[in-house]
Amino acid sequence: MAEPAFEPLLAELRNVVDQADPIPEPVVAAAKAVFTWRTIDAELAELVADSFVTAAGTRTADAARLLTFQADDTEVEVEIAATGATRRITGQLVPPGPAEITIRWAGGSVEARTDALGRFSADNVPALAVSLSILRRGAGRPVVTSWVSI
Amino acid sequence: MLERDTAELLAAAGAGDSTAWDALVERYARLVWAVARGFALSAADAADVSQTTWLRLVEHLGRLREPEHLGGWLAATARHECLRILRKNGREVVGVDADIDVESGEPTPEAVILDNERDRLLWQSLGEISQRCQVLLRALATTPPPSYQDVSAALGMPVGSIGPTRARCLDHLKKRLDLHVGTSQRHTDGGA
Repeated sequence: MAEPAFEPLLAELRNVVDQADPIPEPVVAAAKAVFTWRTIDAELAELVADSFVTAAGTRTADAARLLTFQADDTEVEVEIAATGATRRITGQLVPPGPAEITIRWAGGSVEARTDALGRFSADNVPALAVSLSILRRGAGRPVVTSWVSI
Repeated sequence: MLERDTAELLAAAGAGDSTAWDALVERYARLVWAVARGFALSAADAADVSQTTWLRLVEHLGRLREPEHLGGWLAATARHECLRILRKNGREVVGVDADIDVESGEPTPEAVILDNERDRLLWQSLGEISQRCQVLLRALATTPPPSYQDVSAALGMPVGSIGPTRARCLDHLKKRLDLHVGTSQRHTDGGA
């Protein structure tokens, strides 16, 4: 560690931060609780594109948000639209095919089914961190998307 | 030290051991919180970042390439989530990585609970230095102290520049503090 002259200031800062902005206990408890979301036998579809990140400069406040998740053989494109305090989720499975979709969040979930073109939708999804679980017909294990706060 | 090392805890958590998971949370939750608050997110948004970051770890159990660098992985994940939330809230993100002092000067509600005057001024000074410095110093001030690797992940900066940046940020903080405390400016010239 360089700059030993600053050590007392850093120690002082540590003390002040601990007093002024300690991590709230519910935040720690929530972090512990997410362990129940461990999925043992699922393929992960990573978030590879988020319109909030790629097009930040051109975004308008009420524009829908577009997310793309990618697994080995499956891609999921999701549009998130704000409808009051909740969200409407519409999605497209690529390649298209019949699948059962479960949209999960802490405290609940909602089911959806793809149509012939691989599209699906769900209303009244809370504005929380969500993950989609996608079970294609005939597939041995589901694909789950990375958690994303909507 | 009887503590199990991070890679061991990760392996155990991946195998379904919830006490190992709890131990990881105890070890790193403060770092994640510090990063989010360093980006000046509200407590609600910081809680959101924390939740998403730990959910990301759950989904990546057994998939991390460098389990011994978990702190850095969590810090980087938290950082990305912070930037995402800043954009979601329509806040300017361009300046986040720049060394521009934050001139809001609004006293934070937390300041009220600090009854020691110098503590209060130090807390205020922390809110007035650049966002990058706030993230860095908040991360460095967490317990247990993070490695430079963890801190570099929180900032998206090379490990090699953490030392010099740390010195500069502490210097900025000290200058702000001295300004508020009203002591002689000559005092700090040696450190500049």
